[in-house]
Amino acid sequence: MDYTADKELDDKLQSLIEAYSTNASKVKNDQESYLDHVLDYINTNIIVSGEVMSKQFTI
Amino acid sequence: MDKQYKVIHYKSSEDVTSELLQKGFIEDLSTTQNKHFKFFDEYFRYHKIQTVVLEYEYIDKDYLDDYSFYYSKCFINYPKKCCRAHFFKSSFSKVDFEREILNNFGTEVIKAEETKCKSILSNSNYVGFIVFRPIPLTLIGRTCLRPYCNDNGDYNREYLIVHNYKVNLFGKTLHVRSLAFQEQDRAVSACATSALWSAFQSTGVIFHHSFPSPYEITKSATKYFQLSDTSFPNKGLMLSQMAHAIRAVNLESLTVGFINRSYMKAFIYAFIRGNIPVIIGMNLIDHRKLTKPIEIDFHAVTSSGYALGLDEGSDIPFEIVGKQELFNSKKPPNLFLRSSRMKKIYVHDDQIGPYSRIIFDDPKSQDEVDYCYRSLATHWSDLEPKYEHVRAYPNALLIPIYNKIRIPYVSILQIVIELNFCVNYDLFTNNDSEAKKFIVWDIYLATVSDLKSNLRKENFSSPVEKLNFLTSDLPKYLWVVDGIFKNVKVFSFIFDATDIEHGKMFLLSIHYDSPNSLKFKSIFNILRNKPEVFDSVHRKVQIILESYSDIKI
Repeated sequence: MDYTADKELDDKLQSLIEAYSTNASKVKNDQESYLDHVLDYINTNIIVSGEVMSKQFTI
Repeated sequence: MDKQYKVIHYKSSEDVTSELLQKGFIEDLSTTQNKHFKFFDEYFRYHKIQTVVLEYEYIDKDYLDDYSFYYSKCFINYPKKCCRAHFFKSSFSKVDFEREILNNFGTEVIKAEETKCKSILSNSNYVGFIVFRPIPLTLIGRTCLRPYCNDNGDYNREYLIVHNYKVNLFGKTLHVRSLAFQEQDRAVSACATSALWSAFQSTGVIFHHSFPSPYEITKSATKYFQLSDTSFPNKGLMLSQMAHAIRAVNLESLTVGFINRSYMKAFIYAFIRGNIPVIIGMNLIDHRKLTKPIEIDFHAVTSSGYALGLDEGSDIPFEIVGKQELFNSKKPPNLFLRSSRMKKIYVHDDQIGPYSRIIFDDPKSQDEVDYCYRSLATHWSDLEPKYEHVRAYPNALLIPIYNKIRIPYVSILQIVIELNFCVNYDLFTNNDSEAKKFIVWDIYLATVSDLKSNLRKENFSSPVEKLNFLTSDLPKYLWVVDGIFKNVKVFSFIFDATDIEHGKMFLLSIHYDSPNSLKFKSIFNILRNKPEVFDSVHRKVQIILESYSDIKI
C-alpha cells in the first residue's frame, strides 16, 4: 500500500481551518438552524398520508 | 412411474404447462399465457435450464393449510396435492435420473456412471423449484429459485435476503439459496398477504418466529381491523392490517412514508444490508401515450435485494430537503450516501415473479420529467400487453423488525447529516457545495456476529484495536456508519441499535489502515478542538468526535 496521504486532504484541512476561523461566530447558528430545517422536512414527510393508510393493497 | 414423476427436456415453459394440462392442473393453455409464465421463460433462458423433473402428488405445507381452511370447504372437489417442478441446468434422461436416485440408495454403479450422475443432480446444476397448485388460474405456489448472478459489469446485484433451502427429491438432498415466492390466490390472499408471506420466509429464519401460511397471515391481519369487504375471499389489506400481521409473529412494524428517492434508497439499503426485507407499498399507474394516465391500483411487493453502481461516478448527492432548496441563501453541503448508488431494487412481485426489477431510471423525454422522480420503472409493461408504460409510485415502506431494534434509522442519519455539515463547513461558507465530494457515508444495520466476521477480514490501524473490537462485548443489533474516501473505507462508527433514543447510542469508532488515516484524524481533531465547532453540535456528535480523537494511529 502506498502510504502517501492524498494531497487533496491537505487542501481540505486548510480550507476547513480557514472557514472555521473566519466564521467562528456563525458556526453554532448555521449548524443549529440547518439541522432544524432538515428535521422539519423529514418529520413532515416521513409520515404516511391518511389517504395511503386508508387504501387497500389489492393487486 | 409417470404417475409419480416425469423427466422432461426443457425448451420453454410450454413444455411444463402441457404436462400440467394433461394432469388437469389447468383447463387450457391460455391460462399460462400470463405475466408469470413469460417471466419464468425469461428467467429459465437466463439460467440455461435444460431439464425439468416433475414431482406429482406433492404435499405443500402452505397450500395444505389454505386447503384445509378454505378450499376443502368448497362444493367443488379441489385436489389437495400439488405438482412440484424441479429445474436443472444439466441435460439428462429419465434413465440417468433413475440411476442417480437409485445410487443414493446404495445400488452399485460403475465409476464412470457415478461421475456422470454427480454432475447431473448436483447443487450447482440445481436452480430450484416451483410448486403448482391445483386451483384455477392462480397456479404458482411456493417457489424457491436461485437469484440472478451477482456481477453485471456496471453494477453489482446484491441479494441479501436469500437463505438456504434444503430440498428432498425422492431421497436426494439438494440445496438452493433463495427467498420463497408465491402468487396470490385471490381467495385466501391478495398481494399484501403474498408480500408478507415472502418477508416472513426471511424474518422467520433470522428472528426465529413461525412461518405462517397465507391463510394465517390474512386471518391475523383482519382479526381486529375489519373492512367492508369480507376477510375471505380476500381483496387486499390496508397498511394497518399488514402491520398487525407483523405483530402477530412477535415482530414490530416500522412504517415509513415516501419522502423522495434518496430516502427510499437509504431505508431499503440500510435494512437489506441487515438482512431484513422491506415491503414496498406503491400505486401503479399506466402512463399511456395517447390517453391520460390510468391508475391501476395499490400494490405491495417485498424487496429481496438491490443493484449498486460500481464506479465513483454512481455517487449522486442525497436530496436531504428536496431538490435545489437553498438554506440561508446558500447551497447546503452535499451529502453522499453509498445507498444513493442504488440503480435497481429486486422485488418479489406476486403478479410477476421473484427478483423482478424496479428501476430508478432518469427521464427519457421532457414529458417524463414531471413524474419520473416520483416514480420508478417496472417490469409490468414488458410482460402484460394491455399496459403501455406502467410506473410504480412508492407511497410507504413497511419493515418487519425485531422489537429490540429500537433506534430509528433517522436518528443515525441525523448524526451523519450533522457530521457531514461539520466536515464540509468550508464548502458551505464558500457556497461551493456543487462540485465537491468528500466523504461517502455508508449507513446500515448489522448483527454483532456478522459485523465481527466481516471486520475480521479488514486491516485496522492497529492490531490491538482490532483485537479489542473482536473480543468486546457488544449488543446483538448495531447501526454502522462507515466513512469512505475515494472508494476506500477509512473509519467506522458503531452505534447500539437496542439503546433508548435519548441514551448515548454511540459505542466505538474504528480506524482502518489507510494512508489517509492521519489526515482524517487531523480533520476530526479540528472539529474536536475548536470550541465554536464542538459546542455547536449535539452531545451525541460530541461523543463521536471525542472517541475519534482518542484513537491512537
